[in-house]
Amino acid sequence: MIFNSYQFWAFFALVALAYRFLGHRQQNHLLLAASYFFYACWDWRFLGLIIGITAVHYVAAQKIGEGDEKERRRWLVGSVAISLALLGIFKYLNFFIESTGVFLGRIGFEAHFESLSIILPVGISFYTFQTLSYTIDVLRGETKPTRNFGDFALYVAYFPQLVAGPIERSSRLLPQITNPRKHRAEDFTIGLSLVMVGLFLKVAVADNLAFVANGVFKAPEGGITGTDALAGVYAFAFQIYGDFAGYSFIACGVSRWLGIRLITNFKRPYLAKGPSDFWNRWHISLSSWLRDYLYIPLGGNRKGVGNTYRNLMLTMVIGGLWHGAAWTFVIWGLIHGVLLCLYRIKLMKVKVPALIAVLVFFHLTCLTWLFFRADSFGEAMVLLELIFFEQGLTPFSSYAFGSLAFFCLPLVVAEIWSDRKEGRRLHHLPWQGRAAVYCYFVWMIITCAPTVYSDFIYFQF
Amino acid sequence: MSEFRVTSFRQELKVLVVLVCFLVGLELIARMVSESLDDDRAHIAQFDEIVGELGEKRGAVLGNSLLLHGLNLEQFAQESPDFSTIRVTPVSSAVLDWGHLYERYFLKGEELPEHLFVGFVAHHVDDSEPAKLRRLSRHFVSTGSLSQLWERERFDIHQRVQSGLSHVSALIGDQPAHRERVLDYFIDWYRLGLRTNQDWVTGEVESSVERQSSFERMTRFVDMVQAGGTRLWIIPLSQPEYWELNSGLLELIEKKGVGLMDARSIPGMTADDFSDGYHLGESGAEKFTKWFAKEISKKITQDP
Repeated sequence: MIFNSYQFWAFFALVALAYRFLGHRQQNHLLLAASYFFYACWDWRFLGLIIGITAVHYVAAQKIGEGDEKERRRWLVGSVAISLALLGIFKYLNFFIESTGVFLGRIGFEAHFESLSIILPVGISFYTFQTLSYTIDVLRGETKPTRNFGDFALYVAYFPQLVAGPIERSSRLLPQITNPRKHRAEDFTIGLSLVMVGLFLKVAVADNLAFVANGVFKAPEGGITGTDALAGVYAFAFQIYGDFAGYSFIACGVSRWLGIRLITNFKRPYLAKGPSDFWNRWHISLSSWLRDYLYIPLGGNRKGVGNTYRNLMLTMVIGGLWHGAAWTFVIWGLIHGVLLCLYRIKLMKVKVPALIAVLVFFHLTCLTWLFFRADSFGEAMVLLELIFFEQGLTPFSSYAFGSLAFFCLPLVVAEIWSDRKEGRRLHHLPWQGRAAVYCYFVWMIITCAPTVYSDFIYFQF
Repeated sequence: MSEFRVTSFRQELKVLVVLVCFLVGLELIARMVSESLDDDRAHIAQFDEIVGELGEKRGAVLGNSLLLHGLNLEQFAQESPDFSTIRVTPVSSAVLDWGHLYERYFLKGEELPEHLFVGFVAHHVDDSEPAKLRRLSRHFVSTGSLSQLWERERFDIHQRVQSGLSHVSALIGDQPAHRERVLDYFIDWYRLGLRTNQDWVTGEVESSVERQSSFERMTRFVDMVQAGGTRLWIIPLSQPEYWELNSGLLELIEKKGVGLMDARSIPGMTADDFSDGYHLGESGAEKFTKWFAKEISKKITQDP
């Protein structure tokens, strides 16, 4: 049941209708039941997993809230270990088995390990991080453990953000669950604008460019020029942005209609002037999570220059691995880590006009996406070589760049408009302006949608 | 830019009303331009008229672009003066489309053909051939058969809604054609680029998917045609390389008494007779038409 399917909207209409007629406690019960139903629609067998993780962290938080320092730490370590072990088994076990086999083979030992047949539970990386942050916050005294299991279960499983984020913090989401929600007059307007932008990004931008990017990354060897490859990388950059930001916007929009505000996960990331700026704009809920629960606890920038670089690299590599169990994701994280270090030591911090800084960093981001999307390091290197040494305009590259211009130019213009004054959003336009923009969105969504719609990329993480 | 003024649900309704009016306008335009979107829509719009001509003719040819390009009707009329036929050949169609199309346009009419000829290559009659849901629902399925289609093809809720909307709305039903027109207008080399793109994407998918052949759609189609008293002939068509007929299909046609006109290897037909490695060119169409007229003469007019 994905956000751009009719099933989801029928489901949401029923939930929203019932929601309006219920009191606060009943609303929470309804949302929890709807969330578990939503999750069961993906794979009902993993309902036990999410309920189990919820129970572990609920009990751990209670014990942390009550116990002495030693006991508190023991409960934290126990609950974190259980969550990470489950994440490790479901997401990384095969990766480690295969990598160990390859490594042993390289150093001369013949080892043949069978991969296990493991299904990745959808959204496990998201709700694992969300529950971890809750338990750690309780230990830090930043959040009080909630006594109501139903409320906590809803915090973990809240359906708009369950399978692909944003990764919420307990200090932000839990109070909106435990306290009666106020009906705000602007919720419908803002929710509508978020949903419309999200659908446009997903259906019109991401799904169309996915086709172009898939073509380039699946093209037979020797079948493309560097210009084709470059167009494919640009297409993937906008695909992943449209896909993930689109999902986040829709999640925030439908949640807003339910009176619950979720964190803004994307703020025009391709207008970033450098890596720090980028991570303040891209997948903000993950980057801030990594900052607060990994980078700073590792020492952040407080323990000398060398340790700062080590912490940056470690954080970004783990951030890369969070996305998926493959070396290409590790390389993606590594490159981002290196970029953060380079910008930090000011090697690349030459004073340049904002436009140049944005263009340079956009291309560096595209370089990282090349490794992120490629099936292997070798494939990424082949494409990179093509891009640098074998440029050549073909009918395909004209088509690919034409598609990029058609689907992305209005988006880029709108983002520049929004970025010129921080906080300026679509819902700030007068109603006539909003209506005109929505008409454009609807026309693009209906007329220009690809014939086959695709799943959201981030579901696999 | 003025600060955001709080707007209520009622005020936002104005925006929604504009949106609804816009959608209605788009739908009206889509209905007006439907027939002129492409040659295929123009052909589909003539189905009633074409099938109406059946009264004077004995046969009907059903197929897709392979027969559209492969059969020269004028030449056929000269080669086969005793037997005339109509031709219904929507492009990229397959047995699921032909079944519903036959039901909607032929069975509702007063006359049924004496002989129905269906031309195809392997995948067109296989159940694994993906349904082109929007065009099928909009142009080929009758209203009464929509729910049957959903049940038989095991459509999920999304597909059912899509199919229902396509049936009633030209904007949704003809969306792929609208999309192509718009993108072709705005994007240089759109068609060629798209074809290359499609080859790269589907090339990998097809090489990784092993087709499991089954013929439920074909079985239903045969039963429906034969129930009306029409003699059904299938024509496995020429391709640059000879291809094998599936044994399951052979069993089916034998069991049901379906006629076979095997055009896979027409004497004198070479790879040069194909314009694009798939469709017959002018010389190929001439050879096929001649062969087809002879087959009809041999199997129908001389030996009824």
